[in-house]
Amino acid sequence: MRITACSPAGKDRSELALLLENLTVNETSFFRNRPQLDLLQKSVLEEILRRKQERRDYTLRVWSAGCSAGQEPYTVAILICDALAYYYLRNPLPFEMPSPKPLIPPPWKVEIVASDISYTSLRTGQEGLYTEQQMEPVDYTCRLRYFEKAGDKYKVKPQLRSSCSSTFTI
Amino acid sequence: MQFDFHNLKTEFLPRRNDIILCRNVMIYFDEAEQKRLVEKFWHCLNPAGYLFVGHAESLFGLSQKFRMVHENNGTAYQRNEGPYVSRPPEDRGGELRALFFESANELLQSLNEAGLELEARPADEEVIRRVRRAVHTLKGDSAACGFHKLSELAHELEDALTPQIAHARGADFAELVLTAADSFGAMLTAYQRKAEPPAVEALHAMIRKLLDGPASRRVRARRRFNCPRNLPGRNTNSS
Repeated sequence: MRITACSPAGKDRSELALLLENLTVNETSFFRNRPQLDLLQKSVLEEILRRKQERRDYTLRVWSAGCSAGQEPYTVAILICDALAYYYLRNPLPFEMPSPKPLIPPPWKVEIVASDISYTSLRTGQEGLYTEQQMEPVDYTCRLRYFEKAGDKYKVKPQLRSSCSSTFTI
Repeated sequence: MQFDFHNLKTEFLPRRNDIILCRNVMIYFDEAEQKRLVEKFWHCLNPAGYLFVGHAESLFGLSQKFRMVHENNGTAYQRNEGPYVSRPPEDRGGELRALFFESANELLQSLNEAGLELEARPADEEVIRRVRRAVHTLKGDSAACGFHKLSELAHELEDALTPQIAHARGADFAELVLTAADSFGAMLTAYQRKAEPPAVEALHAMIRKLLDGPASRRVRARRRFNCPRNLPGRNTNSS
């Protein structure tokens, strides 16, 4: 984690951080508000991908503001990977894809920035470890494709995390 | 994927995004701060980029620089490139109405659930409070959208939704709530189709019956449901 925009310096910082932990409601879940995510995947992403490809612009950037424990940005990453895969299923590329197929087909570059005001949440998001209970809304095809088992928890596959890498700085 | 600390109140925010999700965050800010934040989001988006806000949030009244996209109960806002002429009121009304139908359907669902709960546990005060809240919200929201018949009906119904009446009329009361949910549903469907709302005589009759039910009927109801005689509000009800 990189700390970028910030708050008072010095010893007050930890106190402020503590206060923020208590003030913020870190309530979130995978695939929260499905109808909205369907709109995101089926209409918005579709339109953006088409629009960008026409301009030969293969970058896509998403910012999840108030990402809490990371379920939202990972959900969006999954939606984007699936949307791209489905897009190229219908509009095949003129060359063979290297095997195993990368989650993000080249030359696309996807950046996802996830931000929150709570450090604890950010750390949880960065770890990408979720309990069975937190994984409840994730169906098994999705678990197979994007998660691996770590003890009694599920861990976001490194491919998903790195495929949505970021070169972004402010 | 990159996780970063950002305070949304500062100016140092990630730029050139195609999509921004900021769901259930704005509710913690006051209106002035919400307006500033939406303006920042506009600047942080690429042209024609999209902003997603929470289920209970909306940019209505906060910004004219976004266009609402509504599809199968999902809502998003697309960055508008201007010029920002103030849209005609009927257009903005359309946006408000779309939001209204979405929240009204949820209210109806909660009314139906409450009705079933009341059948199982007549006169549960917590459930009655929930029903009153739902009907009250429906009254205000429908009036704001210009659906006056619906609003008046909700107003009329509100008067009959007292714990006293519920105590005295157990099963009738649950029936009233369920009939109300059905009637409101029919009216909403009509409004959504821009048709004249149907007359809901059955509901009117039920409300009237509950409001001016003679004392004798109340006693009978009490006996039928084996209610104790010393109910709270028993005296206030005889007026």
